[in-house]
Formats: sequence, C-alpha cells, structure tokens
Amino acid sequence: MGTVSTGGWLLPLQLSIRELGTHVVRSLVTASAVLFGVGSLLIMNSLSRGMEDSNQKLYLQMGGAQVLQASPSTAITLAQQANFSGSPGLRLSDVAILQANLPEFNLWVPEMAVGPGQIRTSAGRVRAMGTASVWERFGLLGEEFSSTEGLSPQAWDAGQPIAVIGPQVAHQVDKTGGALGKNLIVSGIQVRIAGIFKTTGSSDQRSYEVALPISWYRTTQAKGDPPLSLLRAQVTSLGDVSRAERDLAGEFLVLHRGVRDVDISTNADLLSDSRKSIATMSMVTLLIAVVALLSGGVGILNIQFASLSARVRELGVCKALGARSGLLFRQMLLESVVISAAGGMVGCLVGVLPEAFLSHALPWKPRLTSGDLLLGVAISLGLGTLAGLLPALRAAKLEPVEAMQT
Amino acid sequence: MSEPILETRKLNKSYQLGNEPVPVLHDIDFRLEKGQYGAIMGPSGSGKSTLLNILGCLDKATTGEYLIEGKEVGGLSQNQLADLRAKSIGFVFQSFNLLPRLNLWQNVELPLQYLGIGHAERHRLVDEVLAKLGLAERGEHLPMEVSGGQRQRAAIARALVKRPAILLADEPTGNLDSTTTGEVMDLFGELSKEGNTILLITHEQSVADRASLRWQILDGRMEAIA
Repeated sequence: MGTVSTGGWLLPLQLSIRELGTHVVRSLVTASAVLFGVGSLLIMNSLSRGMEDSNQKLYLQMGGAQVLQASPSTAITLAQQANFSGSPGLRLSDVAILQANLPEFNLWVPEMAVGPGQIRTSAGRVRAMGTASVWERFGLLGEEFSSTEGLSPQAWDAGQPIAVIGPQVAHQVDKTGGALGKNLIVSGIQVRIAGIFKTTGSSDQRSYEVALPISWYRTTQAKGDPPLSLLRAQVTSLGDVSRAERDLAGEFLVLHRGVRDVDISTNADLLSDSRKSIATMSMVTLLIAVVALLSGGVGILNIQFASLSARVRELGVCKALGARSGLLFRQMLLESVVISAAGGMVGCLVGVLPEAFLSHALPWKPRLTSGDLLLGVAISLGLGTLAGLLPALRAAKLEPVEAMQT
Repeated sequence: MSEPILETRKLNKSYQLGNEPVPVLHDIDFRLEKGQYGAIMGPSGSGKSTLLNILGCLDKATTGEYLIEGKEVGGLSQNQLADLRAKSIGFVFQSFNLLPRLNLWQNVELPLQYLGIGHAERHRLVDEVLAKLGLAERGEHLPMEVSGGQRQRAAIARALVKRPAILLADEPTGNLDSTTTGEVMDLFGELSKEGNTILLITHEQSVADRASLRWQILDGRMEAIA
C-alpha cells in the first residue's frame, strides 16, 4: 500500500502540535520563559532607541555640531586653588573679551541660572527652572513659540520685564490657558508673560522653563560682573570646531590666570556621553534578557528530556509502526521550536507595549522597528532549535526493541 | 509451493555479555507462505520474542539469511527497515501499545500517516477497519476509556489498516481474560480466512491450536509440530 513517506516537515509539525496540545499548561509555562526573554529584549530595544531618538533631537535643538558649551568647572584641584585664590569662574565680562579675541566664533550666548525659589506667582510658588539669556538663544536652540504677546528682539534686548515660559509653567499660572499677558514674580519684581514655548510634550525640558532677558536680569538681579551658568558659542565653520575648542580653552586659561575653572565641551561630546549612558543601560537590560532567554532554553531542554523519558516506549512503538528516525527527530525538534516560537511571538507583542502605552508617560517616545520584531522571532526559533536538538537526537537514536521494553 | 512471505535460512542470534557471546537462536530455518496462519510456541526465555523481533525487522540476526517476500533484509539500512515495517508488517503487541494520548481513531490513523497516504483516503481506510472490528462507535475514545478487548481490537485495526503482507502478533491474548481471548482468536481466524498472513507467538496451547501451522521453540532451536 502506498509509497513510504519521509514525513517532510508537515507531518512532524502536525504530530508535535498534537503532542503539545495534550500538555497545554506545561507547554505554556515553558513558553513563558522565552516570552520574558524576547519581551525584555524588545522592550530594551524600544526604550533605548527612543532615548537615542530623543538625544538626537535634543542635539539638533542645542545647535548641532557647531556649538561649544563652556560651564563652571566642578573640579578645581587644590593645587590650582593654592596658585590662585579667588578664581573668577565663568563671568559675563569674559564674553566681550572672547568675542574680540576669537574670530572663529560668530555667536555667543551667555546664560545665567535663576533659582527655582525666585520664581512665583501672586498665588504662590511655581515649579519652574529659570534662565536669563540673550535673544539669540531662541535662534541658536531652534526654539519656537506657540503664542506671543509683545515679544520682540527689541523689547528683549531693551531689558523689558518680560518672560517666555513653558506650557507647564503657564498651566500653573492659569489653568484655563490664559497665562499670556499675566505676570510672574521674579525675586519680587513683576515680569509679564510675553510668550509660551512650543514643546513636544510634558517630557520636553522647556515645559518647565522660564526664559528672561539677560539685560533685564543684569540690571535688576545680578549687578556688576555676574557669574554665568553656561556660555554657548557657535563656530563659524564646522571644520574649525576642534581648533576653536582648543583656542577657547587656551583663552580661558589666560583670562583666569592658569586656573582651569571652566569646562568646555562640544555638543558632539554631550551626545557621545549620552550614547555611552544608553549603551550601558542597554547592556544591563541585554544581560537580563540573555539570562531570561538562557533560562527559557534550559527550561525547554529540561522539559523535552522529561518528555522524552516519559515517551520512550511510545517512540519505540512509533518506530515499530514504521516511523523513520528522521521523522521522530523532526517531531521532537519541532515540539521545542513551536513552544519557543509561541513564547517569542507573545514576547514580540509584549515588546510593542511600551510604544503603544508608555509614550505619554515617559520623557521619550519608545520606538520598535520591524527588524526588532524579526530579531525576536529569529531568536526564539534559534533558541527552540538549540534547546530541542539534543532530545531530538536521542529520540532519533532510540532502538525500537529496547525502547518498547522500558 | 508458492513464494514465501517470510523465510529464514540458518538464522542465528546471540547477544554479547561482556566478552562472551550468549546464543539465543540456533540455525532457524523457517518459512511462511501467503495466506498461512502460523503460531510459534515456547516457554518464557526460549527466544520466541527475539525471533519475532527479527522477523518484524525490529532487530537484526547475527548470522544467516532473512527474506521478506523474497528480498533479503539483512543488509538494509535503518530507514529501509523502517519503510519495510511501515509498508509490509503489521504488529500486534501483548500490552496493546496504543499511544495513550491519541484516541482509537488517531492510533489507527498513525501508520497511514507514516505511509504518506492522503487525508481523505486515510479517513476512508480508518473508518472501514474500525467498523470491521466493531469499533466504529469507539473511535473518539482514548485507550484508557475502553476495555482490554477493545484496546486489542484497536491494536489489530492499527496493524491491519495498511493491509500489510504479514501480521505479527506477540502474545496477543497475554493480557486478556478467557472470554476476550476467545473473541480475539475468533477475529484472527476470520482474518486468516480472508487471506491475511498471520504469525503469532504464544505460550498457550489453546491459542496455538487455532493456527494451521505450529512450531515449537526450545532453547533457541525451532521445530515444526505436526
């Protein structure tokens, strides 16, 4: 009767699914470890890619690769302190000298920090971060406004008591959305809200910002030669960034009489540092995912060996009925692959969850690609294959007579 | 004399115990022709199960020749032996050996799946053989849900469904009570009358007496009983 079939892959697949169907709970528990592994791997990818996207965006908002940032040093050595007591630090007076001495820079944007405790409304304190700067900051950082009222470069540079605030600050000022034109109180002086930043959501750092004209701040709050919290400088040509960085550092050393009290970094440095942090976080999460996947693989291996032990006699009977060794090999292997693939596919669904549900709760938008999903499926298939290989080989090598005597 | 279905010539089998060979079967010369109903008798340990395993291509002889339908099987590969079992040999075991998680219908279907027979043809053949053996209403039941007699009939159905050249039964009534033993032996009798070639091994004289040809095996040597 008929020609003997080698079974291909369809018959062993049918048989393996039928076998797994008789142990639904065991199969689900085994698959769950792969689910956790693939799920955590994809969640890690989704989160780190979202952070990377956010950084890239921030990098562009900070002016891109042509912008250097000078900030007061947090680590001045004792020897330096001994050499020069009373280091001036980063001061507003530095800006004019730098402008005159460093022609490779075409834009200087000093910034002074305004303490959160200094900003309030008539109703009470406001959760906000204040900065005082020049009008050019808006252009350098690519900042836009969702609404303005009496806001202009002239008014800003003339030192009028005006402010541009983030939407979260505006909400604290007037929950009905009518903050524009109302007043904030900065160190006891009324400042009119002349603009509101356009942001990408509550996670945008500008949401809680209060930007003030540096000319107004100098005349009312920080007289003399006030310290700067930050000095941004734009290099005219991208090719001059490295040289400009060296020149700026050298100029500060001269200005501050050999004391290295200013740290200089490029935006590329900041991006690189951020990428290192993301890579570290990704590595930790990857380790967790790998451990989960290994546990899943060992779990499948263990279950398949247990299943093999329990079914030695049955497999011997199957051989007596005419099943080839190759068919039993494929059947056992596919049992493991089906369990792992099922776990991996549900893991892929779990991996999509952050993008679907956490975008509004996180300071960045998680992002998963189709390549990530394919990776998840490929890993689960590979894991199932590896874990199922040894039990499948054992099943294939069973001698029917010995197997039926167990 | 017609062409034999099974034939052995000077067949010997010995197992290795340490460095010493332990002989189990000695110079077995035996033939069974198409449509014959034979029984091999012998006490426990006489070598009859070893012989049946060799005849069923589950084990190999140490020396000698073994032919199925005129073809020598001694040099066949594992896959060729599996194909031969799938196509030409139907097994009935003492302990039924039905797969416990498959229902009776699925158990009977399994050999046809190994043969690569299509879905519709499988359905037809399984339904037909289950009806023939009085199990048409029991197909959906698991082996543990039916009686011992029904399990053995299902095992016979599984052996018969592919219409093998030879039906080999290893103590087919060993786990059955006397009434069910009678029913199963009646069934073997009917199958023999329909032209099936049957060889069974047993240690029960009453079971062997149903067969038209009988052999006795003692200490690995086989001789015909008149």
